[in-house]
Amino acid sequence: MNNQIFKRLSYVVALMAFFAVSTQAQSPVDPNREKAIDSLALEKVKDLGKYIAIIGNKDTPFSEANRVMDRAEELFAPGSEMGVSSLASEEIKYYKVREYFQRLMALNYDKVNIEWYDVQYISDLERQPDGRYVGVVTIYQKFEGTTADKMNYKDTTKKDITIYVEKKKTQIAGRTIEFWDVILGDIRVSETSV
Amino acid sequence: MKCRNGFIPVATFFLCRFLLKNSARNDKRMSHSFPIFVRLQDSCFHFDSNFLYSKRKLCEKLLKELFSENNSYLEQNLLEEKSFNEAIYMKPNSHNMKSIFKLVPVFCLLLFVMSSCKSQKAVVDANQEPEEVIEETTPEPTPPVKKEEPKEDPEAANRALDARLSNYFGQIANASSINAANNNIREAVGMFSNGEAPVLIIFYAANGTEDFDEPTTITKYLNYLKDLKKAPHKVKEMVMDSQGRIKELVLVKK
Repeated sequence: MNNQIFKRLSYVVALMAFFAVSTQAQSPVDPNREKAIDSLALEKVKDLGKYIAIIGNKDTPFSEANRVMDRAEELFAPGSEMGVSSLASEEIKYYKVREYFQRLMALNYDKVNIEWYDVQYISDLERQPDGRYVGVVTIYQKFEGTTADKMNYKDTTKKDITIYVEKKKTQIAGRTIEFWDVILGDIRVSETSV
Repeated sequence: MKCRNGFIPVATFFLCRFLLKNSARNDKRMSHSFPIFVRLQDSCFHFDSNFLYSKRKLCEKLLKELFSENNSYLEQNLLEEKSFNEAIYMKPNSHNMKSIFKLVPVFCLLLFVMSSCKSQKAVVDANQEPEEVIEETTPEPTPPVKKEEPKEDPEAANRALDARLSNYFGQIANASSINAANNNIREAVGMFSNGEAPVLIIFYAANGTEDFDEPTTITKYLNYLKDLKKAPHKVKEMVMDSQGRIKELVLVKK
């Protein structure tokens, strides 16, 4: 009787070990791989910073700005919002990303310079129950606008960007390619200073 | 037909030995002396035509041994005093001479084979010489060169294409103006089947697995280089179409 119980218990333990190993194998355990995914996501954020600088730049031709807007919008999850702040007001306004880009392009300055710096994770990418990786990256945005009569406005805003990374599949030339899709979520303003 | 010089003496040796044995054993006229003759062959046969005389002392020794062992053989009167002496000195007895004469065609045949092999070799050499002369006289052997060129073509073409594309990446990223970058983009896109040719970017590879970034198109990718003013990737693989244009590009981080 005791032998039978022992046998059954050993089967259960073996099954549990098998499932544990198989679920472990599905996740990217390789720390270098996780690091590469982190870097990939961070690069996308930096790319967005460049796109915003191009869109805001008054020297950028309209067609180019529109093309870049399309590229920048592709980085975001549908319906994502961008927070906008000002030294003149404590209110933080949120716009859909496309609207934000269009307003940025139409700012009433003769010269606009936008720069993103100190791009880093404040919350590392972590795997969620639905399989997606979610993290938060913080950036500092330095804005400087100059009018024709040399009126100058500048501020620095700290913004938090939610990042989602998930594995997707696509068909290319009849082949199924698995790739890591980095999607940006809402961008929230956390601080605004001179 | 190749002639191996080392094989001929050995083959000659065994062939002669075999024939001598058989002739001695089968010839009834040699019946009284065949044990001696066979023993002699087994002991001291070689290619010297006068071997029987030059080995006289050894023959005497061997014969004595043989007769001491084969007393019964002697008792049967198979060997007479006369034939005994003849056997020792191998003087030109008619029986012995006949057996020796039997070897003559064999040696002739062997000599003919050896000479024919040599002559064949000489013919082969003679045939090769004119070819060498022709090769020397013709300074540019054009057919082999033409054959080698097509073998190197795909690799060389790929390398050239890779270098050209990498050059475009650099030029687009470092363009002095948007117009200059756009011109380079236009030229670079001309290397592809169309502007929508897929571009795959590997951002991590280990243990035989590759992790891809989101696939894009060549037009978008080249514009990406222009916008970011950097060329962070290098070409890993190019898939060509039937017209020799790139229909798919795989890039990897530098």
